[in-house]
Amino acid sequence: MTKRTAPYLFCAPFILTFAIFMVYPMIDMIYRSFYKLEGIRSYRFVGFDNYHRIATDPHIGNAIWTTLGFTAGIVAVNLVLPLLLALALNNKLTPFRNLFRSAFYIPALTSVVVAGIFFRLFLAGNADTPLNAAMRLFGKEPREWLFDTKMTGIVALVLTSTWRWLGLNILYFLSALQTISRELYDAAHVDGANTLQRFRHVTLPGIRPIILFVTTILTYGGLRMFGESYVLWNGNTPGDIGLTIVLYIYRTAFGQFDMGYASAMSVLFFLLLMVLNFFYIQSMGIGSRREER
Amino acid sequence: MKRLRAILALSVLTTAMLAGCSSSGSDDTGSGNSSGGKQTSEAKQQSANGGKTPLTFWTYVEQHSEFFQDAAKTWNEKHPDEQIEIKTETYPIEEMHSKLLITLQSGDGAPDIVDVNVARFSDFMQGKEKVFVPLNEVIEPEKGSFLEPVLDIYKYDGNYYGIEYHVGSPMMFYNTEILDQAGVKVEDIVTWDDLHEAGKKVLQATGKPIITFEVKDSWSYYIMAGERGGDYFDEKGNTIIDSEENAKTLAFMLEMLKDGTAVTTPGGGFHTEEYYGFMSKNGAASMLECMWYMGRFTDYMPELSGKIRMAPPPVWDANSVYPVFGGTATSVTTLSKHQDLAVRFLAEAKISAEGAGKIWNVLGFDPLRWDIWGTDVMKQDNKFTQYFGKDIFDIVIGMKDKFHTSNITASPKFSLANSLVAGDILFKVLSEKSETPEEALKSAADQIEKAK
Repeated sequence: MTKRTAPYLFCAPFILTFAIFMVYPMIDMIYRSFYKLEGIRSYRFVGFDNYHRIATDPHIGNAIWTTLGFTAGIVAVNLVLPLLLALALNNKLTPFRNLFRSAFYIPALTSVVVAGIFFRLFLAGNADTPLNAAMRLFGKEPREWLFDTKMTGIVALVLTSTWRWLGLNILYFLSALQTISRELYDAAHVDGANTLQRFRHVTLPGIRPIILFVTTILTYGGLRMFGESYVLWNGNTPGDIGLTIVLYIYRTAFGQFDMGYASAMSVLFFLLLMVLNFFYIQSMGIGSRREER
Repeated sequence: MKRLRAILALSVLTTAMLAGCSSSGSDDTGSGNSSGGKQTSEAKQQSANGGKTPLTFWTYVEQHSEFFQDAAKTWNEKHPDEQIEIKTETYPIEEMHSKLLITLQSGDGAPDIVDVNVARFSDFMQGKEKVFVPLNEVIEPEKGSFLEPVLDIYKYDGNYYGIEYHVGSPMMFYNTEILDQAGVKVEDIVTWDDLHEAGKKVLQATGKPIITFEVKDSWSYYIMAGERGGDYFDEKGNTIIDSEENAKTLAFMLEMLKDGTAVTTPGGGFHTEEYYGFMSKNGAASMLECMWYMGRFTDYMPELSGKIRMAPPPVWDANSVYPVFGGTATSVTTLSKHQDLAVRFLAEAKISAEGAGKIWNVLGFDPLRWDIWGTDVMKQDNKFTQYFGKDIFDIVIGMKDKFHTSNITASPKFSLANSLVAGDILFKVLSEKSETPEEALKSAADQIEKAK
């Protein structure tokens, strides 16, 4: 083994597993998107039929709307809220800091199924659920929160996901905050900067990489939302409330065995993500010459 | 040159990995012909299990796996020289069906015996190659005492590819406490119009609705529409989801919702924690489901014990039928290495009179064998007779001649149709009221046609 061949050998296990479990299924998916499963083993070639169907499917628009709405919501809420909480938890004046730190993190350890069932019951339409009981105090009628409108569906998804994801995001921001040198704050203080100015000119630039990182994982977490939506509505989303793109693809493939159509949707979804990815990479300047220098 | 060596090294590694993958398979067929190899491996398997033949059984209902474990015990007592060991695996419903599809596609890893949901059954019956073993030889001798409309659900070209657990007789569950307060008698409710009128009395006396309609699940609507001949597909699999019968049924439901004699189900369906809570607090005076829903009452609504009275569902007119569509078939896969044994075991477990008795006493289902309905086996003390009284099967006997097969397995698009009814039609028409019955049904029919 020479110095030149060694890297190939070391990379081989990854490349092979990647090729077998990622590249091959993806190529197969593109191939299947032109076919229709009939029975168990026979596929019939249907050309672009599956793609034409996407254009007229009334559920697609709703799924895209829910997915994008959820993504926007989760990015906005999960950037601001964890940052504020991290600032509070980083402040030495906050009492019981360590207790709160672990308390916020615990939901991240629960399974999506458990959290989903809890929120399903919390948002249920019975008059005696905590939420409806609270609404009654304000003189409002009990509501079926999960079956109200597409918007409440998105809010329910954001709420459930935030509850689970918050702790982890706080952790990211906390660790970032702790990397900012104390001296910078002292210098800003000496220069007469007030709290807000210190936050704007010292803290924010200091945690910029983490903000970008969190935004990225939230965006992709949002676009591929499946678990919470599946559990909250118990696999059935009446009136497409809470129907995300991935859930729709899953249901088409495994609920109805419509593999060709599900493949076609996946191909388009993949292209959509690639376009987003491209813009994201462009705007961050990743891989550009400027970065290399 | 160095590059070439690297490629060589890589390919050696690949070959080694692939060889590692397939080495387990070469044991069986490495020497001699393949059938000889198979036999030796079977013999090996048997000796490893203490002489018992292993059979795998997949299901998505925990109770069914207990039922089959129990059946295996009985089998082993009766057949000392043909011992079996049943290995049951329970998965969530969708996961089980997709796993089954994938194993049947790949030709490896499929179970010997499997539960298949009735709404998914036709998915597996498409194409020329059959994946399930015909059960004619065990069903036909007993056919006379079986309810044929339910047997026929799984009949394709004269062959039975699955055997159902239960009839799933449509059943009305009345809360007599609420009805008594309004002075309404169960016997007086014969037609749906009677129910509507009684609902007005109940509403006036108690402020409660007489019935709840599902908006997230389809089965109570399927029964109501089926009574007057409505269905999603005809016998040949043509889409009739937008039929006049279906539209009329939705219009009737809308009318009851409008005057408050009916409400939409809390939680959207009958199988939700919200609904159990609602009903156990005397939320509504009745509900329409299949007979096996008894188990939900005994397990989740014990407060209502003694208050619930079962009765045949209201009808539309003298021509109405009671649609039956079972729920879960058990089949033997053609990939099973012990097909004959699996079929005979399945017959003893579910087709024999003893097995049918257990379907009632262990699972709480109405068995397909009607010749035992009138016997004392069905009046034994169990949690259902304690809750609903001893005469449960007298009701079913009275309905028997009106049972009618639904075309639930006529089209592979049934699962799509069912999800459109449960997810779109009922919600948009009854809850959101954003579409008329005709609009919602037409849109669903279009989507099904495009998916064909």
